[in-house]
Amino acid sequence: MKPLYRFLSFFLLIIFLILLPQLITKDYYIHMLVMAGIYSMLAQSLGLIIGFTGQVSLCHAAFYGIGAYISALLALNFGLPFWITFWFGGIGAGVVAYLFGCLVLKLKGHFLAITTALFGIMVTLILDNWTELTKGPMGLPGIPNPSPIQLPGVKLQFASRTEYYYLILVFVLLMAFVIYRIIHSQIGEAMIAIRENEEVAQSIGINTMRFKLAAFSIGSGFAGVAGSFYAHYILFISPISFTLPESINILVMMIFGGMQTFVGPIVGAITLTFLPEFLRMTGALRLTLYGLALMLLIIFLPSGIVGAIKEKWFSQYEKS
Amino acid sequence: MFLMVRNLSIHFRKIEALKDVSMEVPEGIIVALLGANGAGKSTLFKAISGFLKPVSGSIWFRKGRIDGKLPDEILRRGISQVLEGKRLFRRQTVLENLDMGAYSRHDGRKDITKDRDELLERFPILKEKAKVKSGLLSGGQQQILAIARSLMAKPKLLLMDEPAQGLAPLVIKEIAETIKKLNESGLTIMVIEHNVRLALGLADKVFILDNGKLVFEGTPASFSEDEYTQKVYLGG
Ligand SMILES: Nc1ncnc2c1ncn2[C@@H]1O[C@H](COP(=O)(O)OP(=O)(O)OP(=O)(O)O)[C@@H](O)[C@H]1O
Ligand SMILES: [Mg+2]
Repeated sequence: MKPLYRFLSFFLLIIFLILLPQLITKDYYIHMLVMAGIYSMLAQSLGLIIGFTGQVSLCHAAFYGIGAYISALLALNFGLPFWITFWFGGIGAGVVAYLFGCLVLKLKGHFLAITTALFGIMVTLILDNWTELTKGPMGLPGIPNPSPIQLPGVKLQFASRTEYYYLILVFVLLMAFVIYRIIHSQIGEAMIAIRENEEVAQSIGINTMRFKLAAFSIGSGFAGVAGSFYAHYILFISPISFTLPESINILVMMIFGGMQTFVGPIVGAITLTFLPEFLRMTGALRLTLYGLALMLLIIFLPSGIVGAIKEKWFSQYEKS
Repeated sequence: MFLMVRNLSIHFRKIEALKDVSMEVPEGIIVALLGANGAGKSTLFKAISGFLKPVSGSIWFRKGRIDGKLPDEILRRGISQVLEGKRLFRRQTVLENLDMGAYSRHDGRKDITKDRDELLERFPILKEKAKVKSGLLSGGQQQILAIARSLMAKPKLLLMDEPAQGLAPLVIKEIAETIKKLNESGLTIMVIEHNVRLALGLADKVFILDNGKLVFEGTPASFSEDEYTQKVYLGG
């Protein structure tokens, strides 16, 4: 795509996203949009770890949960507002990922996958059993809304879902910007080299451990921010939202959209947030159809929706 | 001394892959490293380039101690390795592979492109295939690309692990000539090679490893006079 064309379509997309809530009458669909935003953050940050750096992490929901719990506990126990707690949620999740990564990122492939899955299970167990702090399976109710902020022209109260929609939109765009800058820099080059062949990457002078750790902690950190947002949006959290199946859910979104592309995971997150809704009319068959659709898509579009479009585009481009 | 290995030992659990190996390599020569399968040749190269940490002993390069340093640090000091078995970024094009080879360099884009273009002139086949995915090249072409990519790092010492492996005799000759030419332009080269005749024709100095021990060191001329080599390699 030519830069101007690219810029224009990006500009139109932003306008569309800003106007979108006006086009939707049902509050419930705005809620779905907010959830799609949260999943976009989760899927794209996981894309940095798995899609671009090739490190299979099956504990993304654990970092999502760590961010959510850090935020909620700070808000409930110390009265800190969301505008401060989300930093702690993100950085806290990033730091835990860094420490855990130092231990396990030496592992490869299946071993890494299994170890991270076990870590995810361990986090769930801690959230379930450390009842003095987390209240266990009962969860933490009463998390406050983000405190109102005064922007030039408008005051955001966070009383309606639409205001949350705009907030998550800003979060997704900021994160996407950071990740875009990373994958198009020398850092991203090194991450892709590690994904393609770790030993060769090392032989051309890439400190592979450093970049694996960077991808893992940055990606998990963004999951932590998504968790903070979730906590201050739903206003109640419990361990059940951050379990292994949720990690796999995020993984599927990322693969489905195209994990080795920049926008793929976001496309996957939005599609798979809404797809089950559209299948609702099929009644009891809903989940079966959902599973079937996923399987077929992964079989026929192994590089994901965006991956497949890109391949098509480039093969035409090469022919001409 | 340019490269010096002192009393180097490397173990993998119970296997002693290298036992108390010492060697010296002066600047500007070609060294051939011989030895049976499993003798420890690749292990020695990996230790020099920082992929493996020795249990004991030390490695010195241009007066600096390098054992225990990470591969990227050692590469920046001037030792580049062509890994065994033509390892490339298979989904990336020839040009992209070459560019990645310059990852450790901090001089400008301009110098890097200049060096890349020089390499493309030196290896016309790479120029012809510049935009082809490297995984689609023939074995020989891949090996040449792997060598060219390691040269992009501007090494002072090049380690080549079996560059002739699996190649047709004509291509092997081509690679041997390439090695000679690179050496003439000032690069010190160490090659692991199973073909004794090829190794002797190429090298200024020969080392032989046997079961992790250094059992021979000398010039190709002294090769035929040594008791060990006569027994093992020349069938005498
Ligand atoms: N990562 C490893 N873990 C365990 N053992 C290893 C490892 N790498 C090498 N070895 C063992 O160390 C010994 C030396 O291996 P090395 O690869 O250095 O042999 P080589 O001389 O390069 O052989 P070849 O000519 O077959 O390539 C072998 O016994 C091998 O099995
Ligand atoms: Mg070997």
